[in-house]
Parts: sequence; structure tokens; C-alpha cells
Amino acid sequence: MEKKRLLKGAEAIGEAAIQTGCTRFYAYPVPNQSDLMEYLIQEENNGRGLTVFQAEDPLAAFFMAYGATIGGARVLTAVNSVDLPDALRAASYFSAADLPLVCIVFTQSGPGSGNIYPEQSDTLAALYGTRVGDGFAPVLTPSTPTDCVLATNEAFRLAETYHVPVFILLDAACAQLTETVDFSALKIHDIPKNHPTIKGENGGQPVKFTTLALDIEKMEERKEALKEKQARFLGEEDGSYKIEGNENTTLVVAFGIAAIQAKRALESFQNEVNPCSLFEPTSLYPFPKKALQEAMSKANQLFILDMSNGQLAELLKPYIPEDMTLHTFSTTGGAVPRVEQIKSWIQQAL
Amino acid sequence: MELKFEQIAGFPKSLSETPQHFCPGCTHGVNTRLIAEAIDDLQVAGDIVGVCGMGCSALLPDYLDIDMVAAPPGQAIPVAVGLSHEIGEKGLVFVYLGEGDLYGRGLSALFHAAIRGESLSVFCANNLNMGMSGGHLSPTSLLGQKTATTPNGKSTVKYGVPVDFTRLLLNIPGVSFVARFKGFTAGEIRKGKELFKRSLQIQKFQKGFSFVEILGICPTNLELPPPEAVKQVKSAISGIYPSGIFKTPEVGITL
Amino acid sequence: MKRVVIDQNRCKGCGLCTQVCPRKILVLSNKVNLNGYHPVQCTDEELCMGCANCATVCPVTAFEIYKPVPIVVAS
Ligand code: SF4
Ligand code: SF4
Ligand code: SF4
Repeated sequence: MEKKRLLKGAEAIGEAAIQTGCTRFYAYPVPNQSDLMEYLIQEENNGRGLTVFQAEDPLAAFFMAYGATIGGARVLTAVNSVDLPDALRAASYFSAADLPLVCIVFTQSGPGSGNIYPEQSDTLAALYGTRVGDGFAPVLTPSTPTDCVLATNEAFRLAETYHVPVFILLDAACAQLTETVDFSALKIHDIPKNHPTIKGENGGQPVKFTTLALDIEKMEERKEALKEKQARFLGEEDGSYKIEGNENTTLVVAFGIAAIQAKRALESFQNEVNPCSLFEPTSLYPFPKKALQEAMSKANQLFILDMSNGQLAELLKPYIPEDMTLHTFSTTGGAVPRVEQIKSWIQQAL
Repeated sequence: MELKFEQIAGFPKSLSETPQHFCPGCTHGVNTRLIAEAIDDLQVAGDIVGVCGMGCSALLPDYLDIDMVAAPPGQAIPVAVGLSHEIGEKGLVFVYLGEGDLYGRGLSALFHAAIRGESLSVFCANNLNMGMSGGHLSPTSLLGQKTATTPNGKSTVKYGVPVDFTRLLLNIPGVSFVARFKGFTAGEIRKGKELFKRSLQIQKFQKGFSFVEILGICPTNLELPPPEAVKQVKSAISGIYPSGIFKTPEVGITL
Repeated sequence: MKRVVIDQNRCKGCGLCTQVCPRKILVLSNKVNLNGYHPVQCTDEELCMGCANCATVCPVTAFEIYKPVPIVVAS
């Protein structure tokens, strides 16, 4: 296997999944997501040890994934924003059955059919939608193709450590972003597979997978176990992030393509404004709140940049100190914030 | 002449002792036993996984002593497809679910699995209504049939003329076996077990998708004593949902 | 030797077996079982012809049927 490859974000996810030992991919092809699917089909034909299956609809894809996971497969699935509700319905069942799932959500402009251009307006839906019935799902937000590789590998680790569905939100711009990914520098690991399957040894006893619990006590027990699992997860996992320029009094927070654009904007400042720090959460659940709070403790000006009607600001609100001067900037409709726009927004505010 | 006593009917090994929640007279109980008997006869208890749907069939995992997965409404076929992709080379996968689930929310999945010729045995319990939810209209409810959502009887104006979904599968090349029997007459129940067995054998020999519909009674929602429900359903479905083997593989299976 | 064994507590008193018995020896009893149903009982086992119709239609698998067969002694 080549150590370095020029890959798009969508392809980087596929490559990382294969290198992590993923054996099946179920999806229904739609733009953005289909780049991942096509990459995987190409690699399937190269004999890389995974099987790609096109389901009749996105929901069926998730429940084929459910069956295959129970059968022992390590499964990857993907949707775009329009089909996120199907992913959330599936997440409810994977949560209930304590089964791992990795789902890539290619985020694009909505609501409704919207368009296929990037947006980050499914952030809260993914974070809270996965909480249906008190289920929970880690949500990762990589930006560069290299980050996509790390996030994919991490997603399988989280899914199989906690037996939960894991969502990776990748905006349509990051999905298309190309870079040379150096796999030799990445710590890709094949995770020991330990999720329960019908093939598993059960002392000869038949194995049952059901999410139905008709009596109250049984359901209470399940909810208690779920609560404990979530507490363990939050205790053990901090949430990943990237930070540039830690000591500055001006802090920009953004993720996905917005973070990449913000970084470009900040790099292009030449003494026009004081240096700014950039905080990029690459995990939204768990949220790297300690790291963010530390970065905020040094700052007095906070710039929140995202591509929705203010979802990132809503998410960060609980962590923002009262004396902080807050600036928010959003692009929507599929428009990526331009470097010039970001520069003038920050310049005008300071 | 000396006599010995031979057991000719009893409790199949793969059937669990767990008391079943099915209402008195419900055909689900017969079907559950037949599946257990078919599994025992073929000696496949260790190599088979069952997938059940939502509704009155959803507790099947408690009633069969084999590996079982309970699927969400409408998703039993996709779950079984995923399982079959994973274990189909070594084991068998069957689906057991009600017609409200399969022909309603699950219809697209059923036809796509059939078209792809997935290696599956699908057993559909058709009792003309959605039992567990409280006797609501199902896709196979008969014209004039009173249900919780059609208190004045199912009318063509609102719901059209019910279709025989079983025979709609016949034209699909990926489907190798299609049959139907009544789960409430002794003669047809006996044949029914053979149909289940044949379906599983067809799967074992990689002959593709097979389908058996079991006509049943839901005495609770018909609000009839079971023997009366049998009489009424038998006459009401006559000519609409006939029993028989409608399609079977031409070659290669010895039963 | 018993020919018709009925699990009195599994029986739900649905009456389906009573309809298919050619010998009409199955009747619902007045007893009440653990689950509150009137279980079926066999009035005369000697009349049973071992057709197993009852066991076939019974939704709860309450029956065990034993049929007498002659022992053939190889001479
Ligand atoms: S409601 Fe109808 S289908 Fe459900 S268990 Fe009772 S009789 Fe059977
Ligand atoms: S085996 Fe036949 S004759 Fe004997 S009790 Fe049952 S139905 Fe009646
Ligand atoms: S058919 Fe079974 S459940 Fe119904 S009355 Fe007879 S023994 Fe009881």
C-alpha cells in the first residue's frame, strides 16, 4: 500500500475505513456521498477486502448495516443531509441494541432538498437527533483529508469501544478538498472487534437481539445501563480539537471548511490586526469544552464563524463568559465563507 | 397382538417453553410451532437466524430457541438481507412478520430483496389486519371489513381493491418459490410445515428468494370466538387469497 | 398408557381442537387453569384414533398424542 496518496476528503474517509478493517459499506448513492461510495467500489474491485452494497433507499441501507453488524461485519454507512433523519432513526436502534455503527453525513444546504453545496446546518440535528430515547452518539467534525482519515479511524474506535453509533459530519466542501495524505505518519490501527454478534460464543445458548422491552422494569434496566455507558464515555473521552496561536486575545472558533477558510484568512493578515487564535473543534460530542474554555480565558474577543443560521454559536453559548465580546458570522445557502469576507469581518470588528 | 405407543405429536425441540402472549386461537401460535418443527426436521437449529418484524410477531425471539433478531417496523427484510450477506454462506436466514408490516412499510424492501434474489426465506403471516396495534386496516384487509380505522368497513373509494401481494411476486425472476396456506385448517397446516421446509431447503441450495404466506385469523380483532373466526375468514378469503404452490424451482432440489 | 396428553396450563381454551376432532372427544372443561382459561379435556382416550388434528391446529402446542402401533417381532 502506498504511504502517500492524493485524496479528496470523501476518498480519505473511504481509504481510512479500509485501512481500519471495515468489511462492508451500505448506502444509497446521492451526490457528495457517492464520491465515497465510488471510491469504495473501486477499492472493492482492487480486492481490498470490503463489499459495497447499494440499497434501495437510505433507510434500508442502515438496516442492512444493522443485520450485517449483528452478523459480525465492521460496517460503514453514509448519507447526505437530506437523509439525515433516516440515519437518526437507525441510530436509535443501534443505540438500543448496543451495536457499533459509523455513519458519514455529508452536510449540504437545507432544509428540504436544498442544494448540494456545503452548509453546517445539521449540527444540532445530529447532536440532539441522536439523543432520541436517551441514546447518544459521538459526533466528529474533521476538515482536511488528513483529519478525515484520523476521524474515521477514531470513529471506529469509539463505535467499537462503546458499542454506539458514531457520526462524522463532513461538509460538501471538505468532501471535495484534495490533499496528499501521508498514511505512514498516521497511527491507523485495526481495532480488535469485540461487538456482540450472533456468531459470538454464548455458551451454546441462542443469541437474541431485540430492542423491545414490554415491561417497565426491563426498560428501566436498559435505560440505566445506557446512562452508565454515557457517563463512562464522557468520563473517558475529552473530544478532539485543533488550535493555532494559543496566547492571543482574539479567538476565532470554526470547524469544517469554515475553519480551513478562517485559517487562511488569519495567515494572510500582515500586522493589519493583532494576531488571532483559531480553535477548531474536531469533535462536537464529546465537546472539547476544557480546551475551549482555556482558550477563551485568554481572549476578550470571540469570533464564531459557521455556515448555518447560527447553530455553532448556539452550541457554544454555555461556554462563553459574560464579559466576552462576541461576534458571529455565517454564510448559508451553500456559499463557503471567502477569505476576504472573513478578513474584513474581523478587521471591521476590531 | 402386542402394542407400543408411538408419539406422533408433541413439543418441538426448537420451540421455547416460554408462555406465548398470543391471544387464544391466534394463528401466530401455529406458525411459530411449524417453524420450530421445520427447523427440527431439517436439523438446522444451530445454523439458522430468524428475523421478526414489529407487531404481534415481535416477541418471536422469546418463543424460538434459536438465534433471533427483532427488527424495527418495515425493516425486517433489510435486517435479514444484511445478515444473509454476512452469514448466508454458512447459515440460513428466515424472516417472520405480519402483513401489515411487510406489505405496508416494508413493501419496497420486500420487492427489492425479491428482485435481487436475496438468499432468504420470508414467511408472512397475513391475518387481514394489524393485530397488535389494535386491529387497524392492513393492506390485505378485505372490502367491507370493519377495522379500528375503517369502522364502517373498508371501501374502494378510500383504499382501493386489496391486492394479492403474494402472487405479485410471481413475475420476478429472482423469486424461486411462492406458496400460501391457511394456518387454521388441519390439512393445510400439515402442508404448511412442508412449505416452510421446502423454502429453507431452497435457500440452503442457494436457489434464491422464497416466500410463503400464511393466512391466519386474529380472533381478538374480529371479535369472534376462534372457531367462528375460522369459518368466517375461510369463506371471506375464498377466491381472493387462494392456497397453493404458485412457483417452485424447476431443477435441482430433492425434498 | 395415555394417548392424549394436554398441557392444562398452556391451553388457552380457544376451542379450535374441539372442532377438528373426528371422534368429538375434546371438550372445554369447567375448570379454570392458572391463566384463567377453561382448558380442554379428553372425554375418552380409548376412542382417540391418533389423527393429531388437535395437535395440528392447536396454537399453543398443548398436545402430545401417542398412537398405539403393533410391535412387529422379527421371526
Ligand atoms: S391481536 Fe390478533 S394477531 Fe395479535 S396475538 Fe391477538 S389474535 Fe393474534
Ligand atoms: S388425535 Fe384426533 S382423535 Fe385423538 S383427540 Fe386428537 S383430534 Fe381427536
Ligand atoms: S386448540 Fe389448544 S389452546 Fe385451543 S382449546 Fe385446544 S388445547 Fe386449548
